[in-house]
Amino acid sequence: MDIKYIEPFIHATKHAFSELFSLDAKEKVPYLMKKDDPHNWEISGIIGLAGEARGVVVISFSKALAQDLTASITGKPTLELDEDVVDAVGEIVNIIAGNAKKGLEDFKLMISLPSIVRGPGHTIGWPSASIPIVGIPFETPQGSFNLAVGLENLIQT
Amino acid sequence: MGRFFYNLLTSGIKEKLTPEQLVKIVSLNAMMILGASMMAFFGIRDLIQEHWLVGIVVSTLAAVVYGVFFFIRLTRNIALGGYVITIIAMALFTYLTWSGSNEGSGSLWMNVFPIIAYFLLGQKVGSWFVLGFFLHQMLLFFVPGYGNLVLPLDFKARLIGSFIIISLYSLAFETIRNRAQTEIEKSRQSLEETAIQLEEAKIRTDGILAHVNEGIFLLNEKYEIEPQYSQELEVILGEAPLAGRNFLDVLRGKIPEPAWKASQDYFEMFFGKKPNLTLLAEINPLDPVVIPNPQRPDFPEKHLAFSFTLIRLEKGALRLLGTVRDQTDSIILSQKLKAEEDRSARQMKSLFQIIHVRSDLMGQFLEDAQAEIHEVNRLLKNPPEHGDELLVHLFQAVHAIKGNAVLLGLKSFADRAHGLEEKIQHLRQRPFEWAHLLTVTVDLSVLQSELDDIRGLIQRVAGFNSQMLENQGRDLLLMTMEKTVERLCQDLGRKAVLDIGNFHPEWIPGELRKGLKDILVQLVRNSLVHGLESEADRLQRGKEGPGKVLLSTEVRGSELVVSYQDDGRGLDEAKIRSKAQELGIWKDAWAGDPQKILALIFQPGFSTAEGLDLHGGRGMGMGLIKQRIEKMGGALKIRNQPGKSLTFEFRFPLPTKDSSQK
Repeated sequence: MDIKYIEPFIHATKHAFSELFSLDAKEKVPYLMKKDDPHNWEISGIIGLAGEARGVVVISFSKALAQDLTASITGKPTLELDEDVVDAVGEIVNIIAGNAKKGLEDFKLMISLPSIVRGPGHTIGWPSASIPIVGIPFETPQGSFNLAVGLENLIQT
Repeated sequence: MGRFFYNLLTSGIKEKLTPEQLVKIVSLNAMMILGASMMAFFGIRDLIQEHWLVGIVVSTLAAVVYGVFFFIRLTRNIALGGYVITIIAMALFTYLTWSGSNEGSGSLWMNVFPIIAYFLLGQKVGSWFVLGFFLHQMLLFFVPGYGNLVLPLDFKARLIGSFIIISLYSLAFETIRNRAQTEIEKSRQSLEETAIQLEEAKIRTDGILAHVNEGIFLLNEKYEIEPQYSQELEVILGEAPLAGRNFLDVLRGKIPEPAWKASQDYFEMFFGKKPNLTLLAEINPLDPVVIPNPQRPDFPEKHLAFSFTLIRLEKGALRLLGTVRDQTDSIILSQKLKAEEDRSARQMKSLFQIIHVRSDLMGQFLEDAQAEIHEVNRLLKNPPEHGDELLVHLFQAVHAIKGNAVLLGLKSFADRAHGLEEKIQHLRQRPFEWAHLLTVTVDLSVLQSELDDIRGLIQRVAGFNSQMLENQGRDLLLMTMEKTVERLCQDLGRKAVLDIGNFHPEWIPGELRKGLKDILVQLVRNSLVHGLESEADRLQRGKEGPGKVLLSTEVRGSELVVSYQDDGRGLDEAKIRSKAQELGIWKDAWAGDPQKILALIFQPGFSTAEGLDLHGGRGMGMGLIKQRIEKMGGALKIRNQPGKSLTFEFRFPLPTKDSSQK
């Protein structure tokens, strides 16, 4: 894993939040994550990466924040993580993936279409048992979310 | 004005004429016009002078010539015109001689005749006319009473002499002119052919230069690129157009300075005295060379290989023939290959180091390292105010891990930890940025995953060891059967229990094992797919939930009997009967004989499937099983208890003592 693969996602995330919601998403101290770490996030968008590095980028939201963001987009509040929320989160993650793609063009990396997983404490399937994973917490005035990147270089130095 | 004359002189012919034709027709017309006009002049003068006969003849002839002129304009028959004019001229000159008028001066006109005849009618025909005319003139000169010519002899002699000279000269001239004409025509044709060939050759050369995937170019003595170069050159150098540009200028700024200077010297050596081409090929500073590649940010550099040789053109002109290939792809590939090989080598080294550590020490190391990382990760998840503090903690954790690794001799791992340590130190010397934390955390996560890899590796190796000890006493065939039942149950979602209480696989001779194993596996599959009922059904029938598969061996006399039994639903004799009827092989005589009925399932077409199922690509029909058994020298008997059990009994003759298993 290399920081050059992660930075486009960080920029894309901040950009997406400021463009879509006029929210300032501030990155906090990154930490190490393990494959089966328990967590409290309720809905995640998953973007697959392949090419000279292989892995997954996961953006996880709490229920409250997901609902707030959905309300910003659709104009009506939601009571739970329904189809509207799934669509909205999908949209957000899509935009982030699209923006990140440009930054990754210089490397031989391809991005998959994002998929959404929901449910309290859902598990993410990381590609391998010992893949290095870094988590980056983000804070916005309306709540916090998590950007996790698990990548292994196929061509290592 | 000029157009009018042109039209006049070419009889108004608009098509393109060869030079020969043009000359002929122009002179013909010119002659006619001039001749006719002169004759008109003389004729009229004669008439005025009351030389009636001469005057009338000449004037008439003049009119005739004008007539022919128009005739030719209309008919365009130049050849005919030539004859007509020659004949008219002949007649006229003959008459002028014959008439003897003006003191015989008319005979002077005879000298004009060869010129006209040869020019209009060519060498051969002209010669005939000239000869004929000459002979007749001789008659007029020397036959007394023939004609009215009165001339002194020496006058006649001079006339004859000049006539002969003019004739010969005209003949010679016409011959030469003809020859020259043919030569010109031939060269013209050959020039045309050459031009066509050159054109075709050029098309091919252009084709080559447009498509060849190397850059090919010529440099003159000023190192300027000549216009004939291959398209690929522009692509490779990333510039266009290149014709006339100085090659070194094009390269300047793209290649490193030393290489550029060296190139200049290098080229000079080619144009010097007696260049040693072989040596020059070896010291080429541009093979290989790297230039930037602005169009592809993911390939920031192009790897090129140039090669040069000297060629000699016409008149001793020298040129440098250069070719250049873009080797980037193959270079990148070989770099990747090298990186992979290095990685493998490093992994081997790591493994080597790991194996040499005592296992208890290794375990301790892994635990300690993990603890360090956990500790620092706790801080990362609940960070203090100052980012810089975090860097210190990260440093300390990595330092501790490194220290332990060094103590154990895990050099590769320690080196990586050391690298991270240094990175943190460097970053601390600069003003703090969030990105510093990110890069260190990322590197730490990679270190973590390496620890996980090491742990995984050790566990597997340890696992092998204990498994090997466990398995030493057990028979492979047995374990295969157990594994098969377990796996098939999992795959098919069924439950079955294998009873091997009475199974002595060690009694089975070596040469039969493989064949038997394949068959038994197939039988297990059959049982699980068709034979055994669902758990609910079984419970209803008073059977136990999980199906029972019984494997047993027995020695009966000189035979070994291997039995396979499941307690499923057995074979449905009625179904077999109807299937046989369907296939048209049923015989009513078999109705009460269970063995005959069961034997039917070995017939081709009797699949063990009742419907279509995709299970098992290795479907062995019962027929195939029977064949195998027979090939193995055995026999198969089936005992069917519908609704209760199905037993397959394999009987083999036992070999004599020395060939049996342990």
